[in-house]
Amino acid sequence: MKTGGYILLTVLIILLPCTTYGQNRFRDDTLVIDEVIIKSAVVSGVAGYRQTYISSEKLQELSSGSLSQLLERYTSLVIKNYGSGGLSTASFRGLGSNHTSVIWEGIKVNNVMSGQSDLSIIPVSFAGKVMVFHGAAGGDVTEAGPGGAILLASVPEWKNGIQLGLEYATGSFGFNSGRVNMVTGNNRFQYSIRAYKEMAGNDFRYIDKYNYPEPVALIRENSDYSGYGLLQEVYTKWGDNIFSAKMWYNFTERNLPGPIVAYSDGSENQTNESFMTILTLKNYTEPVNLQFKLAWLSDWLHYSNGIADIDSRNKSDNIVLTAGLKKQISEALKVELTLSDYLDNVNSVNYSEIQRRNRLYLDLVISGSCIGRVGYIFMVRERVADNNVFLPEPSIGIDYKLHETKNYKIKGNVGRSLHLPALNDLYWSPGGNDALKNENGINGEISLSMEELLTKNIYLSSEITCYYSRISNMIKWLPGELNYWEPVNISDVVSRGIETELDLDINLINHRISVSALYSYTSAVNRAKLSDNDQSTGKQLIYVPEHQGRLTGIYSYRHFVLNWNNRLTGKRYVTTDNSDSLPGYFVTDLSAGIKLKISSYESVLNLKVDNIFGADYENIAYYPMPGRSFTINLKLKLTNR
Amino acid sequence: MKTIQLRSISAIFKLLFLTFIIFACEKNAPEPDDEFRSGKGFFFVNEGGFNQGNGSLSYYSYDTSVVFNKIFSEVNGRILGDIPNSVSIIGEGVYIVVNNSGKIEVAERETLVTKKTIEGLNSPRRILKVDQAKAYVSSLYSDSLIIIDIDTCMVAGSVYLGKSSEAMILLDSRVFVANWSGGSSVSVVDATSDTLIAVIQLRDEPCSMQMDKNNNLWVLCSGGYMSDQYPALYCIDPDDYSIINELEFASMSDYPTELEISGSGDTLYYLNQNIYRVAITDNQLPLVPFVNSFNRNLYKLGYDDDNNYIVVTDAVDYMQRGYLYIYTRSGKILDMENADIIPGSMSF
Repeated sequence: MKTGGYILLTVLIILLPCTTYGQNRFRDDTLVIDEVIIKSAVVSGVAGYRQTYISSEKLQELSSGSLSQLLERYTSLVIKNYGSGGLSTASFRGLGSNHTSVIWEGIKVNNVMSGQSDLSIIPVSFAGKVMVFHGAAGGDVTEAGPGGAILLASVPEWKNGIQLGLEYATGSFGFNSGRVNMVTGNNRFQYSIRAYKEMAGNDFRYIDKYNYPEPVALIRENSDYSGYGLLQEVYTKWGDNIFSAKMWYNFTERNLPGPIVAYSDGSENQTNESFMTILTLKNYTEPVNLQFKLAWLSDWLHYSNGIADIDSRNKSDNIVLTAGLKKQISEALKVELTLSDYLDNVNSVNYSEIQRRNRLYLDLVISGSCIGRVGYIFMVRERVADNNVFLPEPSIGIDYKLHETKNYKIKGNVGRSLHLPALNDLYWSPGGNDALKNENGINGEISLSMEELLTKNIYLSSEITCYYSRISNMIKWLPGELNYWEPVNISDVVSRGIETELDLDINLINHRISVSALYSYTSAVNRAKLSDNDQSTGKQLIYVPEHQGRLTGIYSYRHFVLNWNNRLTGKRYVTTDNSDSLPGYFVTDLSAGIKLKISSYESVLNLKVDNIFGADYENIAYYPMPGRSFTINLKLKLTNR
Repeated sequence: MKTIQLRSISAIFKLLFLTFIIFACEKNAPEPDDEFRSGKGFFFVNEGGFNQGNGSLSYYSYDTSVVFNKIFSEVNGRILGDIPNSVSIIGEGVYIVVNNSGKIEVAERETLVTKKTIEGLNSPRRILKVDQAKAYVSSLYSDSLIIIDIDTCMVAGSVYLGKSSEAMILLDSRVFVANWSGGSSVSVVDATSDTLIAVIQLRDEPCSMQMDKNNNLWVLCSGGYMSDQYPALYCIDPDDYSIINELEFASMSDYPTELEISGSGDTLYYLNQNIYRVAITDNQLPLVPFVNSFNRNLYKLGYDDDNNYIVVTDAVDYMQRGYLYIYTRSGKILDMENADIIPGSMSF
């Protein structure tokens, strides 16, 4: 795989830019317009479901960061983070991180072994657009949930010419990052390449409050990481067809420092290498649109621990094939049918043999709008895994516009979802349980949203959502009859809560103020009882904060931008009987940037201060997080298109 | 109309800021236990979760029938560490072996004030005093026993076994060491010369051992964590290392652990989901439990010789506070108390 992948990448790197330079004669025909900022966080999309876009300016502000940092700042997702550069996962609405789908270009890219995605190794600079889809659904959002989905996608701008970008960032604790990107093409062909390399010593100072009678300042050791990656995209269109080929390569190496209460000799580390490629063909010929995708997702994970003499090597591959058709019969009726096949293959020293699994999905989506005020979507998914046919998973969502002219909406959805066990749950040796059942979810939510231009300069949008989900047969690893842990379908979890979001935008000639506030309350409780002594029944799940808040203010004046971000994470229980907890924390980040633009050259200088008040906090118990840190970032952009 | 809207917006922001301030100020309120009292009773460790740093030391007082939890951290103002595996009384000191922190905390018996912390050990499990000057420490990941100088509380050397080590028993000047994790033997070490002098080959994973009233060695083999073999209970002559008796369990899915012996040295107890009891003269293992677990997750077992009490812990789901049960020798329950996370080994 590796050799073939490298050859393919090399050929594309060398050949494709040369080809596209030949198209530059078209560039004079191109009208250059300023960057369009997608501002609204609350958007209309799939009827009845809550979706959140991360605006392009927020993506730009964190362009040298990871997807984990982006979502932690700007969404209500719960991020479990083992420290800068360490494993980082996201979960929705009190559910597990394996209930969160990460979807790149319509294909679920979660690791098939663990069922999770490590967001710390996904660079923001590789994500053209980021959208968060709350709740379970099928259809356009392939296998979202049952918690929700994080969607990464990019769409070409069919412009002539070339755009080059260079970025260098350096900061505290040995952080250095370099990025380069290029987009070129014309109105029929587009090519883009993005690459990055970064490293960090991560030797930050922290306060050890546990191992000594008095707090002691220490330096975090064995926490360094480095990584590099490459993303290439090719688009071409002819007639009513668009073909795209996308290739994503990522490599990271990191030392794992462990909790500060454990003995470490510095020999614990992990290497991740992933290669993903997706070929897409879309045909827009009326009356039926067609879409075909072929994807190959390959992951390599090597974990080693010298003390425990562990040398764990894991290789997983996914071949995905999807075919879909879409027909817009009328405004009131659109029908989509998609067939997807995922072939999983895992070769791991932790499995007794190579394991394969074939997953087949058939999704039917019927959507439309009626009488100008009602939008609806009905989705049903049929799922087959290794010849096991499961009950269909239906869901329905409805939007109702409350006002004739104003954008006030009430919307809601209800549905049923299944979640297959991850391959580790089935085959990990020892403990894997191939008799596990699927997790069953019942989900529903209701939202009230409004978007309004209060004056010609003031725009306000808000949304409040109440949700309920119940997962039965939830898989939990417990000590088995023997001396190792085994996954069992034992948990029964009910999660319910409220999510509120408010966005305010004020534009006054050269001044712009944008304020975004999020608050979420999550009650995620276990309803199962293991024994009479089990005191976890009715208690909040561990590491699920009941309260979370985000407050972001962005002020810009001409080419100057100030970004102020505050994150509140409430108390999190660390024991299932809620007898012990981690305190909540409040972290503030501040960044200031200035943009200089001369003709087609643009440069942006940004200074970022993370955790400006030096909050001493832990996201995971005994994994201290960095205090105040500084990053300076310089971007250069040459646009000739 | 616009004024009302702007007032509403202002109110919303005030509410948001107020919410932020309230929750930002919230602290994790400690729940201190009562003062540790060193009356009649026994120490036991609570292992806590792996890498979760919530291991602790508790004391059960027979005088008050109360468990005093987190007593080490209350006295010393710091946490005990990650996975305290065992606690032993050596002289006037309490030795707490903290496995995943790679250390042994040495504290005064009466006050629990730390005297010394022996650090940098590779996965230590248990400590055994072998003479007036030194103690041996077994290890999960190391292939050697660690020698500790009792006076200085310093590492004084090691004894190469070539295998992992777990339970240890001293008989005269020889130490019998169970080669538990991945092993299938008992190593015999001359404590005078600190050298390996014999290896007794048994079945997979000898986890615990006892010496009976006849000075015969009993070894419980779990059969391996993958249940590759039938578990068995061995009786071994410690002089010539011959096997006197071998009692095989009925099923490979049995997973016996925690071999204990009565103060009179004639009755063995062990865990196999439930508590079982077998006389040293029996030629077969019991099929009926001595004490039924009733769906509890029985984790560690101890025998208090002075009172002839059987003590067993319930780890529940390993992620919440567990329980300590005290039974009489006849199996009658005397007390049940809340412990801390994963209550484990005891020292009477």
